[in-house]
Amino acid sequence: MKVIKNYNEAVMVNSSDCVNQRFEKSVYDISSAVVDYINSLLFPGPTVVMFSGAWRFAFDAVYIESNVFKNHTLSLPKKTYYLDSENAKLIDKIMHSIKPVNIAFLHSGFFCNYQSLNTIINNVNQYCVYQPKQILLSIPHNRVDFNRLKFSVDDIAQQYQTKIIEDSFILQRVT
Amino acid sequence: MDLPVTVPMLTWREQQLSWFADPVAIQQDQDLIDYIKNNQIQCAMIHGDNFFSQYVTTVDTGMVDFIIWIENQSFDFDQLILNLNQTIANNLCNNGVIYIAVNKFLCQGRNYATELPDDYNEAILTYLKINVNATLEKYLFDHRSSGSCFNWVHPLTQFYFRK
Repeated sequence: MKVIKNYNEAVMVNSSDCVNQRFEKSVYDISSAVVDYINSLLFPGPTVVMFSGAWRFAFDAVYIESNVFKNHTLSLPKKTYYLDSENAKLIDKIMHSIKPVNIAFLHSGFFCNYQSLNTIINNVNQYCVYQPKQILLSIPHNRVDFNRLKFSVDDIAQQYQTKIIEDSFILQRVT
Repeated sequence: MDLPVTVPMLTWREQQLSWFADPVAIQQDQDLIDYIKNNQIQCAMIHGDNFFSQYVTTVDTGMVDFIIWIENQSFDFDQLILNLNQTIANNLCNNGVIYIAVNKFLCQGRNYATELPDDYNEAILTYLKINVNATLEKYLFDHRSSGSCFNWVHPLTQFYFRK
């Protein structure tokens, strides 16, 4: 039997059932309080939600997902683009056609990937190039890398000027 | 009347492994299994993950030469140290080994130690070395966490302490 350190070291099943499961797991459970808060922050105008897996929110939005999941068979709204996250030209093209007012990264395991809040925010800031009025980010505390022996969740929220809603950090970056 | 069909709930390990086309084993699982085999460990006390009970005879009371302690739910380090030291005192034979794997993302802090290193991995190492009542033999840092290294199946932060 092959011993692997990470997903990339073995071939994954490409069945729709398997892709569906992975698609659903690529976003962390998000509470209604967090969704409601994000909803309250949205400016009028087009919203793009990036890499939030199989979650679809009550507000009107266009979704951009990784093409890793394009063969899923879940019933989702049609306004979803599947693309290679490394394909900057295609993201550019879609963003320039939508002209989003809000860009949101909501509980995205795919995007946040257990990095520090500093790294996550730096990655978020790269989306300012699309000139949205704001970028919103939500991420559960326990999916962010920080020294939990030295710092509290409140310390981290204060350092990075994020709000805490239930178990999550919320970042609002008005551009 | 048809009997209700019940679908067994897969563990997170089982679900993730089912996504691969061929059978695979997770590195940190295999490392622990190898340790058990190489050291001819027959019985052990297991906390936190019954997956390993297929490789040893598990015991719940008394003294053992090997303890597997996997912390993969919300915890705080102060309480973890109390529990570990109590188990080491009450259940680990002299010269016995306790294997500890902690999911560092699931720590719910209560007290904060500002004198610890800034690097979280180094801070965990320092904290456990100071507070666990046994001698550290080996440790493995979680430098790989990216969501793709099975940390949430078997944590990557791992220690072997000998009493």
